[in-house]
Amino acid sequence: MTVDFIFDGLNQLFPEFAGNDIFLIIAMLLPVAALLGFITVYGFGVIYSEIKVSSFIQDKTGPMGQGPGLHAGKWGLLQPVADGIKLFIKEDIIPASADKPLFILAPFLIFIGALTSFIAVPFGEKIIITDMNIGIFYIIGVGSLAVIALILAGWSSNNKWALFGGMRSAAQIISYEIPAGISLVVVIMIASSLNMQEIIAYQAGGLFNWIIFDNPFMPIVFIIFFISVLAETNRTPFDLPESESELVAGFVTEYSGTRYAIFFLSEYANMFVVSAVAATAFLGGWQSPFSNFLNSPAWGVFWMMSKTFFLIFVMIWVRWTVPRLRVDQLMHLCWKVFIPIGLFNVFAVAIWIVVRGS
Amino acid sequence: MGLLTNKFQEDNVIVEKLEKLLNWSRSTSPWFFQFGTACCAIEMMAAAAPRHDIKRIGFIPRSSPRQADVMIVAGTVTMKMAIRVKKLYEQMADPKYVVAMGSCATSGGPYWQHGYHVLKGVDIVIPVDVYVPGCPPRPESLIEGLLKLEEQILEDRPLTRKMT
Amino acid sequence: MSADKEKLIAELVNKGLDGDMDSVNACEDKIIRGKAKAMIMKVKKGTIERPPKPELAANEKIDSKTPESLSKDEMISYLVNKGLDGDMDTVNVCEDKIVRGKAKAMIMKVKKGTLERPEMPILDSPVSSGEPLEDNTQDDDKDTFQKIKKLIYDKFPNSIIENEEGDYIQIKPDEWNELAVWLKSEPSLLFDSLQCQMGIDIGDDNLESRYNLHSMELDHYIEIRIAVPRSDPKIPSVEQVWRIADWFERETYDMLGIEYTGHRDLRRILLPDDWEGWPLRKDYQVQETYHGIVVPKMKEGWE
Repeated sequence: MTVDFIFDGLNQLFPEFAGNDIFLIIAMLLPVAALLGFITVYGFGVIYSEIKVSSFIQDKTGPMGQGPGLHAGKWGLLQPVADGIKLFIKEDIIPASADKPLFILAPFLIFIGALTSFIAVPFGEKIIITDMNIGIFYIIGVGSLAVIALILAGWSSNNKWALFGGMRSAAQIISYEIPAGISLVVVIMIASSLNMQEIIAYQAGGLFNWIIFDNPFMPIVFIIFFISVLAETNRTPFDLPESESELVAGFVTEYSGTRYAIFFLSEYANMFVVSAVAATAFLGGWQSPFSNFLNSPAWGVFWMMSKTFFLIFVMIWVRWTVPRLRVDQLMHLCWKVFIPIGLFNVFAVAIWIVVRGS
Repeated sequence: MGLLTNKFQEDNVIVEKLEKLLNWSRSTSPWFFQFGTACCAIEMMAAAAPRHDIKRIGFIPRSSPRQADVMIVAGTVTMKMAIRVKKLYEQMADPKYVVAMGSCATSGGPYWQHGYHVLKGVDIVIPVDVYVPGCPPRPESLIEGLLKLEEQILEDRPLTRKMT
Repeated sequence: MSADKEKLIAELVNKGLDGDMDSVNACEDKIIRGKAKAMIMKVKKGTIERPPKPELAANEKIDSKTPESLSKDEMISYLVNKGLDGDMDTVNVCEDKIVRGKAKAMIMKVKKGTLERPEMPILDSPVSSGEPLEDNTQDDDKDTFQKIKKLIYDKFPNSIIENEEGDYIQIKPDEWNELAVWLKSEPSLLFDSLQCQMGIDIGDDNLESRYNLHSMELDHYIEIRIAVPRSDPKIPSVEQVWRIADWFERETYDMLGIEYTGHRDLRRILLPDDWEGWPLRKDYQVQETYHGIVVPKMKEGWE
């Protein structure tokens, strides 16, 4: 939507050059630049909130801006800024026995995987970079690029802990894509479309039109989807690949400075994307919970952001509440618990739709 | 924030050294490599626990030496371990600092006289910036040592050409 | 449980149910006391029936054991203690008039305060199974030790070196392995637990390796010492007999240099593998540098 909007706008502003390729390129680059800006600000915000929320859960106060000199601002607000700058000016170490091209390529790949799924996320009624008619399918597909990046990172570090971390992470991600996909299949069945905006439009009309309240199986579907995407983004309780006590730091053991910052940031970007998908598919996207009240396009952005950030908060909350799962418990949970329940849900909802009429 | 707000009295533009920005960022978020060997490690864990919290002054524990700025050597260092300490120190990325916590890391501790296998102070193998005495030092002592380290980082000169 | 003990328990249960808990409490043996109390509880609840009151034989009564090995004085102290605890029946049942009289007189005097309460002599505690070789008294300890020593001497006469005092057995290192296997498997000894193995430099150009053995079944202890010369310390390893000796012997090797032949994995356990010297020997000189790090005895500038 947005790209078309800018393209049309530019055509109207400069009618003599209408249809030029340059306009198309500008129309594509401007939203991406805005997106990068959004990701940066969001990155600082979510890192700050993770540190603060985790500290409050542990009965601490977290960074409060104390220390000598001009320190981290009031309530530690400048702490993530300091973290970012410090990471960028650190020495860049590439281990001598590491596979150099792959080592350098891995952080790029993972960031590409996180970034390209942003273009299908609907921020508001008309604010989506490209409104593809296979929106959800695209996001699931592109999100799997992270697997390649993790294996590359683990392998090229030439470090046995990193290798274990990378392999485990790859196994975990490709296993948990299946329950996530199955849950989204249920949503697609109900909304009869893969297009993100159409799925949201299906849920118009207030709180009880949201897909999560559509039939009694939907809460289970939502829970399975949410836990599966927790595993996809390597968050606790599934953060075995980057666990501290077991594998020194998992697949990021050998990364320092900027490269580590990119891994770090892409994990949070991934969190945003999957929360946005969950909010779109189950919680109504930019629809307001009241059918007539607060329903304008501007309020749509607010509702979408608040639902997404609420889900991110739940992810952070779960991380500091629940202990970590062992790798065999993780696999057992996926293949022996989630997939059967997911498949059962598909059949049950299909029968429900046929019996009740859609 | 007093440093900056004072400068806005007359003008809307302030000029500062880039070094100050870099030093500020390194001093505000020193991620530490938890290298606890013996009893001082318990005090280090207590310092990271909710009651005395070193996260609020910016020290976040990392487990990989490549991602850490500060190495807190807490506990007795034996000869067997000294080789590993040196290896881990070399694996840390610049700029790096070391805090020797407890009397064992400072000078051999209670084993200074007869310990044939104890390294009499970790500064025999790696350069130390701050020594925190005590056996073990209370978390408040450790926090004072860490704050001194932050002050030291603020006075660093990273962009100046060093004389060789 | 032998028939005596069952009778005793039945006796105590009946006494307890009749209201006389004192005699139950005065019984020395914890196990019998516990069982009696448990039975009393069950009868009161109604889960089991009251056991029949056993016939009273002459002196086979209330006390858990009337050990014959107690001397007269000890018998008197025993009875006085029982009487002071409230169990006058034991005193009354004693056949010997003189002992009885003396005990009662002593009880009166202690109650009045003119005499101190005598010490309770140690009586035997029954062991669960097997024929125990030892009682708890000091005499019996020595007895057991002598018995074990005699057993070992009978089987391996060449190994034992005579030693005067003490409660350890000094043996030669040659047949130690066979001796260890025999000690573990012999039914009257059954030393199945190596509690501790340590090495010590006892001077005189000798190093010693000491083993503390314990039998979990039969509850007796023994210590075995093996001395070897400092210049060629070799002792057969007992790692395959008691598996814990694996690390114990590695530690002794690490600290003293005693080489255990037949040990499958003899290497240093605490010090790094390329350390020189055996630190716990009296003539140990610490090495100068280790991988380039100086190992000073005193840091310079200290006093």
